[in-house]
Amino acid sequence: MALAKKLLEVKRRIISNYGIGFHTVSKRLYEMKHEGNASKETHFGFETVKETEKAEKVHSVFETVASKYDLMNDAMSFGVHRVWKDIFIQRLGPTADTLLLDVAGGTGDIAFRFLKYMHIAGKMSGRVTVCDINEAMLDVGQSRAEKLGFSSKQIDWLQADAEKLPIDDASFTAYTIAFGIRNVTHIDRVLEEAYRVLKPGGRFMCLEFSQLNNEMLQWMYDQYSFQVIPVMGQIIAGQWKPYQYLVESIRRFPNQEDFKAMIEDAGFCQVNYENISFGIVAIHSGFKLCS
Amino acid sequence: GEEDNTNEKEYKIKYKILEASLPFVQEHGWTKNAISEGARTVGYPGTAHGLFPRGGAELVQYFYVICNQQLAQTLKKETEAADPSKCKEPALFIQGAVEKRLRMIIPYIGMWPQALVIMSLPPNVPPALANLLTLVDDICYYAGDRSVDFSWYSRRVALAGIYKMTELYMIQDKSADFEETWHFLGRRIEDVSQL
Repeated sequence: MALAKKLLEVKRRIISNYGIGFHTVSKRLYEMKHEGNASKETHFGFETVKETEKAEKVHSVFETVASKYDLMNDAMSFGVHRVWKDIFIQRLGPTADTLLLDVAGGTGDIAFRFLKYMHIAGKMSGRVTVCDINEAMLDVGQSRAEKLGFSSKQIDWLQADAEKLPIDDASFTAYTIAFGIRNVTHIDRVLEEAYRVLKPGGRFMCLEFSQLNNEMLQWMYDQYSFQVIPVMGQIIAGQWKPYQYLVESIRRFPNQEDFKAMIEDAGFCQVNYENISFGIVAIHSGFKLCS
Repeated sequence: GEEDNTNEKEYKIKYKILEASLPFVQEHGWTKNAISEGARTVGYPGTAHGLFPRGGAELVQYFYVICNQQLAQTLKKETEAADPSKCKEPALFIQGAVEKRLRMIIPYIGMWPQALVIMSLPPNVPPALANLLTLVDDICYYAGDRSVDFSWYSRRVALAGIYKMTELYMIQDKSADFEETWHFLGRRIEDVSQL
């Protein structure tokens, strides 16, 4: 009975969303490019909203999805997101003296991998501060940490806004942000804050969805994103809109080169990026060197 | 302009870190661990090894390049200071130069096999070949080779071969002060001179 209900709901959603037609994606992208509005607005997926509203809307998205966040990640990426995050930490290559700040790290995926890496490398030290603007995500993270047996001495949980970190200058040697930066209202402010809280020689690393380098694959990826993911969201998590937002926000995020330029503008040196999975995700890295 | 200055500063920092990492090679090998330790001695966090995505290969590369530079400077001084009336015989000059260059490896001889393996990995082969070519070119040039015909190539290729063979001999040589290696080198040069 419950399954039948769910399927009916999905069917209703599909009709209401697809009734507009398959041209929706490209049409809306075209409209976005030709928007002439300049008054303090930003994008929330394909919607245009006031800057002040975006943070709220993102907040409610993540509050809604927090409990099913990890499950959905596995479903949408077929578990591959775990590999991406493993590669991410491998690239960072933490050492015994690493003080890591993981921003937008709510449910703790990066933090746990960091501690595991240190453990395997035989270095029992290693502190990580997990920062997230959303309490619900942090709560999920803390309960996972308990279940996995990480002591509270190794992880600090901090509720804070990435654009205004309540952290002293030069307090961390590594700053990571995985799948978080496309949700912020002002990317440049986040990058500046990252620069501020890093010690000289510190490393900024960002794992984020990016643009594919192949048109055919891009088309397949678009079909998958827009036709399948919101449906999955409805079936698994009972939510459609947050996952619509997810795939739209990915399209809105600057491409690899543009994002690299933004990181350089914030003052980082030796900025590079690496495409993973044909460009579905990219790892950007920069160092605070020339200050 | 300004961008060049920033680039230069970045390179200076990178070379500083690599230079500081060399003393750690004996303990950690040609690896990013050595680079992390080196970075820490110059005040950077251990994660600065991320500046060198190819890890240990970049350290080997750096070492090779500065050794070549040192050798070039020494050879230049030698030829300038030499008495033009009595030119040192090319074969002897070359033998001396190769010995000088190989002696620079001695402090790292324990880890040198690892370095050779790293430089023979496919992504590292092009820079390794470039280093070798620069080396033999410098030696031939200062030995007096000004040829403009095919012998320019054949001399350098032959010398590259001799250098490589002697290097391989050296890493398994247990004699005092590598005496056997220098004898081996002498014999190889003799072979080539007879051609």
